[in-house]
Amino acid sequence: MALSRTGKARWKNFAAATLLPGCASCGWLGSDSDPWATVRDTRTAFTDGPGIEVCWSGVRVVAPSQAPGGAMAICISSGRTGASCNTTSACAPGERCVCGRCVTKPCRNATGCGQHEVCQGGRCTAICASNADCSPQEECNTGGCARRCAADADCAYGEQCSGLDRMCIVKLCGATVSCSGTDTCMEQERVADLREPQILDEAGRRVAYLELRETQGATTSCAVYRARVVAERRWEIEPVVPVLASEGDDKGCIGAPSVVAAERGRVMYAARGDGSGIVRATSTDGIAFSRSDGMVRVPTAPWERGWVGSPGAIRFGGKTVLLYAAARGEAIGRVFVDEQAGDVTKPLERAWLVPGDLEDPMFWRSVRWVGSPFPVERDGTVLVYLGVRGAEGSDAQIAAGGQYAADVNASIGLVTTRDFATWQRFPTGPVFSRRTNLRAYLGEGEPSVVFDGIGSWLVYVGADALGAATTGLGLATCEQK
Amino acid sequence: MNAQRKFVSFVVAATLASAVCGPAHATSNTLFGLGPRSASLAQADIAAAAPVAAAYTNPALASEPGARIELGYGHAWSRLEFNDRPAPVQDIRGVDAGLQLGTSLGSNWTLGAGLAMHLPDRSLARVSFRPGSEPSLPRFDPAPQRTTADVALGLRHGRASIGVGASLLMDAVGDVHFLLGQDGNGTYAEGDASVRLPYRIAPSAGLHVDLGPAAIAGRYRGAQAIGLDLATRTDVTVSGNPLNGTTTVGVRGESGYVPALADLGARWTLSRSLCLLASLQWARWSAAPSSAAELSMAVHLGLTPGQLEARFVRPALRDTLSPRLGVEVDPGILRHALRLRAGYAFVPSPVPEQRGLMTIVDSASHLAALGAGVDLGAFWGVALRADAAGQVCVQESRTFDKQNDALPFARFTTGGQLWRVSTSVEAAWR
Repeated sequence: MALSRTGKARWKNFAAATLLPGCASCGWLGSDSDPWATVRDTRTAFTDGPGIEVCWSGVRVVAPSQAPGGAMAICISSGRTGASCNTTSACAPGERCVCGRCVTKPCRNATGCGQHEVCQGGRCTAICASNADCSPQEECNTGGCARRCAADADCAYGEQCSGLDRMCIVKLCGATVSCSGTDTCMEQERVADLREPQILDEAGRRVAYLELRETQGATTSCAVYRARVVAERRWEIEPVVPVLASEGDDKGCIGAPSVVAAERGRVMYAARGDGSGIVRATSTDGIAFSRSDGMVRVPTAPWERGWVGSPGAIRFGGKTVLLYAAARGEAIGRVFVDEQAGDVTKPLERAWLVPGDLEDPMFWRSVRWVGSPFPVERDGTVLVYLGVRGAEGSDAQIAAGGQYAADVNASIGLVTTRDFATWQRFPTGPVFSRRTNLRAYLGEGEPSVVFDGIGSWLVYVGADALGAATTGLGLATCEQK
Repeated sequence: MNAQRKFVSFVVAATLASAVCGPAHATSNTLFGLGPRSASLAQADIAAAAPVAAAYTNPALASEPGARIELGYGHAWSRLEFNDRPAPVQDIRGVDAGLQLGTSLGSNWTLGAGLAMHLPDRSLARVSFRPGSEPSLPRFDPAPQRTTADVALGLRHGRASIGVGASLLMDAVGDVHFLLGQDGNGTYAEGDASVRLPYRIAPSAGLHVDLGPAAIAGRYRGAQAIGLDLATRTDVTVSGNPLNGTTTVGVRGESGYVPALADLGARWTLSRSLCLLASLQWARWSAAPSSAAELSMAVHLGLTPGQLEARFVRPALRDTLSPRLGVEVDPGILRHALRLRAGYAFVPSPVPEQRGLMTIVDSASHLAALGAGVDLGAFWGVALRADAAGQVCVQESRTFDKQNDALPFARFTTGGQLWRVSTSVEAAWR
């Protein structure tokens, strides 16, 4: 049957109209690869990630608990320098990017190395059974990948060519072991406690203030440093000297900085290490701080029990509000500060918040300690993040019968306020808590939170479950996708 | 010969439609209506539904004599907002199709059957449960992203018609099992999965009385959702492993709830060129289940965690009453082959003020629509018709305040629009 010209056209139209939706229905016009938006509460839905690498003069700062044998140092052949890097992928085999420099990873034993690594020849290297397990430049040498060499230049930065077997190794050095010839003993770590970090946005870039605590024998000293946030998880201490150092009556320790913007520059509140008072310092550039006379707060109220510390300051409603820890974790106090006159209101007759206020029979029990208040404003509400010790969740059931009590551990809690007279607590326990398996908790404390257009960062001090031995700075984020 | 051609062309078109649309799935598109005609009338066409869309719009009208098939495509772009950012709602796009067959039984009786469907582009269905603290938009996700099927049977005697039908869905029920064990050769792993997709049927019914220049109609559709009940069991039996034992995690819930709907509608044909339509739709949102899944755990590893289950309360949504208006005009051009249409609907929000941990996002919406249809004439004994519609669903700006600043999303805003265009071609054998 012959179709007319008009009939052909109509048939084509019909076929097109029929087949086009058909193609669509088969997924040809679209697939399920559309990004699925994640909308999370940026104030409370944090996801943990790798820790923050803090660098001081190009050397990584490690917590005392992570360096049981003291700071690591290695012999560097004269004339050699490590390549600059931002990520380990930019480095040669056997090297990794540490504080912007490609270098081998020295070790004393396998506990200092990562998964699938072995400590061999003084550095961490991949475990191997044959040469096929190693990179092309390496060969498998007694269970670990290593480079064969004729000279030091054949090795990764930080390694040297062993005259014994012509394999690249690391020579550790230190106070009692020196390097040979013209080699230089270069420290790879600096052991210090990083405490009470505060991260903030400053003219479009992020900076941080933190307390750096060093122990020499029986003496502990601390001071406040400033760090530039080079990348999400890499901070560089700049300047390399403290922005606020301890003075005579501080007994060698001033720390726990809290910095707020002022009319001209910045104001810092910091605490003496012995809890005897909170000081105030000002700066026009956020770097050189000069201390005001006297103390902003000394523990005079009975409920403060002779100890105040960890100030958390915020400009809110035209005035500066200062929250602080008191009575060694038994309370949080609050005062108002008149920045112009330098006047400080009297302390409250009783604590602004005590650990029992955060107690919840289902979500957070045995709350015994609270500290390090960090206030931050969000949409007209002040969020106060806190370090808290308590047992979240309920007791475990033992198969053989009975209960296994939930461990008390350090976590991060949240209360909110609009007037600093009353507050409301996050209803389901901590807003951030880590655990390594079903029951083993880790500790988190001394929080600082910053928000931006896409989410938030929570910087915290990682610790063991009780918050006693710190492990370094951690970063948990919440990003909208 | 003419009847033979009609039959052959109908079979060809029906086969083609089946081929491109897959097995007999049908669509209930509660947001937009089925087909551009219903869309452009803001679904006010309960009393004047196109017979080809009767399986969804009003089963009673499936009794119209003749045979009809319609294929169309619709694409809705989400510009919905949550806290001044794009809301987590995907564009809604896919094929709309309808099929209807009716015949005279004599003595003023007619009998007909209809099939209506919506087949999304991306996948047959998306089942999702949001974490309890994350915002959910119950009207826009994930129900529009799934395939459903509507079948109907209509019977007419004189001026009165009745119809019954069903919306076909499926549930997902099953078990996934992992085993990490040990034998003489070392450790080994095994896995098996057994998932059933049993049918779920939601009833529908319709009534239509033709009073000449006017008509009245009613429709009921049962509630719909995809039920999920999956259990994952992991057995670990490795010598010396302190975590040997069995862990079973169950996830259970109802995804993509669409409430039961009851509609009353009317048509007034004021003149040969003007027809007014109105309807009132009641939606039983108060029976909505939680949009978060129930979680249960059975851990037998020597030590059992304290939290063994998570359940969220029902969201306590409100029933809504939604008025809809439509108008169809013959402008008298193209030899009266053209129809212009417009519609408006106000859809109240079923979501009350929020006070708890969950964040259910919604606001009242105004739906405005424009459309047109043109008779293309008869070809090979088949009357062809093309329709197109454009809709905009404007969500009113709404601010929620949970009155507890410490809750997740303690204050949030919502609003924005949903824009949609749709087109279709209908072939009719009368």
